[in-house]
Amino acid sequence: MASALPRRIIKETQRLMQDPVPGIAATPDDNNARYFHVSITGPDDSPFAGGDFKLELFLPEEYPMAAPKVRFMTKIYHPNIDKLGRICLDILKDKWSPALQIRTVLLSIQALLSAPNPEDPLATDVAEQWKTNEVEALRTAKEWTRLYASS
Amino acid sequence: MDDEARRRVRELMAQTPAQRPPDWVNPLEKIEQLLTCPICLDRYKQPKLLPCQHTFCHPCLESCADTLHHALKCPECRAEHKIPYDGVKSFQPNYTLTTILDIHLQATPESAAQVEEYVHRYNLERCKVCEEKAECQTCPHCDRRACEECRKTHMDMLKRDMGRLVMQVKRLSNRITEASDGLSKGIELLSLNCETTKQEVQEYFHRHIRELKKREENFLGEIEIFQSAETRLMGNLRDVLEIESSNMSEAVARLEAALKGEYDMDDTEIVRYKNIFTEGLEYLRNFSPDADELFCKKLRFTVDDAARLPGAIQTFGEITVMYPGSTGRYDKLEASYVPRMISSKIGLESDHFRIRSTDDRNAMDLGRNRFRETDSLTEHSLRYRRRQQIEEESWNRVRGIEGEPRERSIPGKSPWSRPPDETPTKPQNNTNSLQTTSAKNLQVSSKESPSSSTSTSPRPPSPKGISIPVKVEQSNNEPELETKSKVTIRVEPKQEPKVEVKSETATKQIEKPPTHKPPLPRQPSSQEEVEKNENGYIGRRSSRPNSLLIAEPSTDKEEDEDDRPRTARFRLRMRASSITRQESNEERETPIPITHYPGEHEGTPGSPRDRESSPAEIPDWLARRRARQQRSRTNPDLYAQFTSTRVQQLLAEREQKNENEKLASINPSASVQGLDAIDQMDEVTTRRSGAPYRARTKSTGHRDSSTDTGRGWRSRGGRPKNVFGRKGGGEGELNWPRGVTTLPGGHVAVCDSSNHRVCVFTATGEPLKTFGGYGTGAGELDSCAGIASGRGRQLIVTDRYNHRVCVFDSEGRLERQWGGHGPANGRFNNPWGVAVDDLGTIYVCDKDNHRVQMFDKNGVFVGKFGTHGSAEGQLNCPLFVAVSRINHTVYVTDSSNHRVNTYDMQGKFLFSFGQEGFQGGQFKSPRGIAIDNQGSVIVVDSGNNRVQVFTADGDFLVSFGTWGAGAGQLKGAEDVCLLNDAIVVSDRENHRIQIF
Repeated sequence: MASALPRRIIKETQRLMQDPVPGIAATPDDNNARYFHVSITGPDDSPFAGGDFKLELFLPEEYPMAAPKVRFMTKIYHPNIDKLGRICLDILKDKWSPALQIRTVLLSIQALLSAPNPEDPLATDVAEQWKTNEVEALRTAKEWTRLYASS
Repeated sequence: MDDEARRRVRELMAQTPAQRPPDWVNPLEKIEQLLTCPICLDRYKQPKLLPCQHTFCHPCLESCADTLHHALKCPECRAEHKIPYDGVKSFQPNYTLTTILDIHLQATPESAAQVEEYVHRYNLERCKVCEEKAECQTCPHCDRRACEECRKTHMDMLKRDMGRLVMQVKRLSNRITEASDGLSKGIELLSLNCETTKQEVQEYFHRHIRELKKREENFLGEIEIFQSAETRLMGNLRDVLEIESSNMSEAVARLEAALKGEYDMDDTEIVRYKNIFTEGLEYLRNFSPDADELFCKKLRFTVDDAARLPGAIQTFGEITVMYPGSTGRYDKLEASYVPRMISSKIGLESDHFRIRSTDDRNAMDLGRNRFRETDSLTEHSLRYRRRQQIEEESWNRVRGIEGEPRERSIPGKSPWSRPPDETPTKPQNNTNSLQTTSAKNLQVSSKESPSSSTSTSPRPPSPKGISIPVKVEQSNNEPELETKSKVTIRVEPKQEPKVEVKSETATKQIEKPPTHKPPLPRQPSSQEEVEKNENGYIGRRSSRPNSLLIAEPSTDKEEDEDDRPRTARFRLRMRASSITRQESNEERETPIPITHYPGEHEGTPGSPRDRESSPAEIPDWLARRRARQQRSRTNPDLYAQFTSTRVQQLLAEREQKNENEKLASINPSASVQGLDAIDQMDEVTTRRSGAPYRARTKSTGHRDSSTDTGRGWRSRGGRPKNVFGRKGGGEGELNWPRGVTTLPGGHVAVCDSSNHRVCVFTATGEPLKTFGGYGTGAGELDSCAGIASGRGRQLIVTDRYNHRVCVFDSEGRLERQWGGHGPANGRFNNPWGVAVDDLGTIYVCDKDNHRVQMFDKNGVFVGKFGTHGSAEGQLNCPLFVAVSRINHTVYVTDSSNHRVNTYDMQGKFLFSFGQEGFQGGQFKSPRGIAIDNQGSVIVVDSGNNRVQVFTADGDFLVSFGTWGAGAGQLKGAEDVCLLNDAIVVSDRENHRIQIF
């Protein structure tokens, strides 16, 4: 397995460990170097502030020609993240480019927490709530953060 | 330094990138990043350049190519590119990157050294001269960083220049030695000159002392002759009387004996005796010899004018320091034969180097076309500078400042004798102090002043006695001191003694070093001014017993303007003030105010005018006494008699009676009387008091003034009715009071010049308020001089050293100000007196511009008149101005011409009166001027320490006041104004106000 690990992944991992992005921690799994345990701190200007969200990230065989697979492990009230933790983010799908890296992907997810986009929903009910009663939605998001993402 | 930087870099490199400061970027890391493929995150392998200019490895591109659609999406910008027919390998290789990637950097100590050397060279700065990168150092001459080579060339130039400079300096160095030789010669000449002058003075004084002694001996001889003659006469008479007496007693004894029958006598003898005794009895009855005539004869020594001789001794004589006429000419001659090189720096090669290189750069920056522009620009600025220079020069010349080049060559100020770090200001101070010490020396040398004053003790002449006039005609061989006095045993009122004392001036010609340059704005430009200025005052105080006025060196302006050689004159005026007399005056408080009447010189006691104006006022005995008193002007004893309280009381009573009678005949309400002057001064008051009343008071005022001008001050015979103020800065104290003016309500406003404020007093001298304060800001003053009350209770003050005019309201708040220093219209140079006419036009004496400027009430310039000079209508330091309401004439005291000029309201010259002198109608630096409500002109004749009154046409009427500190005496009187019927005089050097 290790022999098959491309240099790019090794370099990326090294960089992530050496020079981590503020608010983001990504550590490779001890058994699988393509599997990362990620934790993102909720941005301060969002209802997810103070939350510590766990994610899993998996680099497929084709990586970097294919996008990594990322999923929220922590329950989160967000219009672009569904119950299963799947994320609706273009760069993880058709807009993937091999010039993108784990670091950039995680930064994009962090940005998504700051700016939920209910126009392009994944969790429709949440998106609906967000559009009709944003105050309530924000309150719920905060509540969920408090409930599920507080360490 | 290098080690420090390296250590720091190592530390930073050891840290994770996140921990490093955000601005810190390792350049090598940056280069490494640029050589990394964003896909494999490894070094580019066969870098291919996409049409969108992004570069990737060939294998990476291969793996992300969409072979199915023959398309490639750029992983960086997502741009879609068609893959060439041959496949991805046909994309253009990135050759630049390939060559860079070929450089194999291997870190060895050698390569590290190479890199270090490279970096060092890379970091070298460019030479500011040749624009090449090199080791640069600052050139100490042109203060630019230049490379070794350029510096060397420059230094070579400098050395060559210096060679030339040394040559020139050597050639001209003899000037210094010549000057120093000249100075040592000058010192000898000076001591010689001083010695001769001393001898002259001594000789002069010895001669006069001899004369005095001779005169004294004459007097004593006369007295002895008189005594012996009289003794003989009286002795003879006594002998005769004794014989008479013994004969008589003999006859009596004989007759008695005969009557007792002791011895017989025949009838005829009896009859004879009877006759003898009858006659004798008759004789005895009639024998009542005039006791006074026979044995009460008294000899008395009187001097016609007690103060004349001591006064003359105190004031006569003057020592002036004069430059020879050729001073200053040297400079101009010099300029013609001194080689140009020394004065024009541009001739130096090394300086040219400096200029050329900057010019080159300019040319480079600006390009060819622009270069011409800059050329014309510099020419223009040159022309401008030239004009400015000329202006400045003429300005300096007017103000008597040494020109620029002259100042540079002040002795002892050459760059060789200057310590390298010292600023040029210090040597200047040295020269200043040097100058003052030299002045001091002069002061000491001329200190032997006339102190041999004959002390005369005048006593009132006895009213009765046998008169034996003893005329002592002195055969004077000195024309200057021409005294004609008489020893009289009875003073006859007809005799009119005259004392003519002319002062002898001893001049002294001494060559002096050039004068220093005083600070600009406060620069006193005329000698008159300095003399009366604070400095002069201090000087006078410091050497009091025979005080000496040290005038600042000043230049003769007229000559200067004509570009003729300057003659700067030091004037050391000896003005001995006998301290004993002054002190005794102060102790006794006996004033010596004298009223001169015009008829006096003709010898008529009491002028016709005097008799006209007050026919019944003065009884005969008083008129006689007054006439006598006038002749012996400053005789304190006489004055004491004259002004004894009883006499004063009588006078006052009489006056009061007259006044009451007059009032009763015209107007029953006596209180109106005082209003006449106020009425004219302030319309507001009268308007308030109602029209009919106003008309009445007006008529009263006019009538009064026509019949009885200046009744108040004249009746007091020059004795002030009120004196207030003393030296100090507190309330009610004054420091060099200058301008005075009357305010509505009978108050007096005074320019307290050295306290830089305006003080308002009541007529009795109670301080009411002050305002102002030193400074240049709004409402602040710097040596205010003139003051006038304008309409609406405004106070117009000239702020002398701020060169402006300030208008305050009645509360002392600044309403507006205008002016500024300069010769232009509406600007001033030492504005002094100020006056306001009926229309509200403000007249300001612009002293050192030698003109009077006119402004409307808002301070807008409306006109000016007078130019500098002594011809008709010209002015030389006009000090005060007054406008007559009667004939609408502007009177200006033209102080340095010692006259009063008159102009009409448009500034057209009418006439002038007075010239320099001490007689009635003559002036010595006239200052304050005021017009009373009859049109009479009251002038403060400051240099003669008196106040003179003239008619509106300039005919002398009367004067009063003498030098001194007592009441009614003046020292440097400045300004005058009228308060109702009283004359208010600012007695500057006594720091007080006197109301006559």
